[in-house]
Amino acid sequence: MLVKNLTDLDQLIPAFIDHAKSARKIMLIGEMGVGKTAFVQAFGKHIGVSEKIKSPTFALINEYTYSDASKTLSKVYHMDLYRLKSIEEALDIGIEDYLDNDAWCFIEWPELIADIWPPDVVQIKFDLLPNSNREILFL
Amino acid sequence: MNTIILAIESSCDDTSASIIKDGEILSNCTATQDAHKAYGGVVPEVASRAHQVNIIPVVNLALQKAGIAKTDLSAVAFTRGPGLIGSLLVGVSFAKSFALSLDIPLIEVHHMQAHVMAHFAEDPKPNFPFLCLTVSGGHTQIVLVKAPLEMEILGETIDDAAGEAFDKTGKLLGLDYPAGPIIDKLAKEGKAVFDFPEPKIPELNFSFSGLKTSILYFLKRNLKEDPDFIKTNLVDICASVQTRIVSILMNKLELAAKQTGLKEIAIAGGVSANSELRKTLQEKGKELGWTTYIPHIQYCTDNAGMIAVVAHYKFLKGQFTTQDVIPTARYEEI
Repeated sequence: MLVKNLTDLDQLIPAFIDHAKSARKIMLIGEMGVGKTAFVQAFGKHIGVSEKIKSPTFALINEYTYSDASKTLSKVYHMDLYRLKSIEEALDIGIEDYLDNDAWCFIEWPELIADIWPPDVVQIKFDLLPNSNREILFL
Repeated sequence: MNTIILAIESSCDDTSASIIKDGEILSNCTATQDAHKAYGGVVPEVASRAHQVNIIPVVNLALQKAGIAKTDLSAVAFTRGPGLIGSLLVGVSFAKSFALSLDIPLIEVHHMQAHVMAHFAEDPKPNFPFLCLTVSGGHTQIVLVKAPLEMEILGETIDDAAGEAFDKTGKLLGLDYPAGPIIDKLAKEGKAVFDFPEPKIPELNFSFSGLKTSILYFLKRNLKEDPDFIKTNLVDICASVQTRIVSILMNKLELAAKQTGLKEIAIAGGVSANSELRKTLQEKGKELGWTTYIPHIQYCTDNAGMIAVVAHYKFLKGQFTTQDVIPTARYEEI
């Protein structure tokens, strides 16, 4: 899908949720500055996360909450493995616990842990196009 | 009787311990620098397990350097959050057991409040109320500090932190991580000849994500015409990016000072080590009649000394924590 601006991104979210709602483990793939965090911000806005969704690069994992349809508090995890050097470091921060539950979990720079991706992950591929446009693909 | 507190910080990469006696810091030790020299061994850079390995040596070192025995302690303080939950758990569990075994009170500390209160580790100390710009790899905030434990966030980043803008620019330029200090050094030899746009963000909030993208496009465009563009222009690119990051920070700080009418202005956090930010703050301060405060670098990065300072004020107020406390990754829960 071609995304020209943040409004286009917002409009993409319902289709994304429909596509990803059973897996809920999302691998965000694309170079720096392509809009991976912006995608999670658009998702958070749509689903009702009230806090600001900020870059998780330094913190490694940011946690957010929202009320789901049955009014229970659910979690969204937003992770960034950019700073990690090996899968062992990812295991040390307890990454398996975040992958093995019902919460939404978005992972930037997930290639490092490809060996332990759950079998039904959703991949989103981001590409930069000329004129600041982006191509976003759900796999 | 003296008030002697052991403080522990384990919210992110570094394990740190500090001893404070009647408001004066006696020791401030961080595992990556000190404990390994004393105990040897190799520890991974980012891992909760590293905190487990580090915490006992670093606490012992802090006690030893301060010349304090465990039985002299009046309380144990710890960072409750925000941070990486696995890392926080190590510090919280340690502090709880330590306090329980010595039968002394526990004190929880908010990591971001501690960054601001780092100004009270040494003289000169700001007068209340004052404004503090806290800038680090993970945070960018303007805080109105009304009293030692009374703060209000006036503005903050809506996406990336200022320190991250340095690090990610470094990545695009092929520099090592963390790139902040490297860019600072290279920028000294360059001129800010390239203009990067200043984001238009309402009120006192910041954004650095757009800057990152504009640098990315700028480099792509120029590399297409000249494959050696980065190599030939590295110092000027560094100077240009640094100048823009600093101007984004300073413009909002100036606006906050104007809106609040305050002239006591402080900066804190790891990015306050940046020489251009320090210089610009002092120049701006002179121009506008501010009194400016920049803590010593050991109190700017994540450290237990700043946790100890907050703990000291909480001890005086009798603000203790019960044994059922749990850490939290989330900022708002504290």
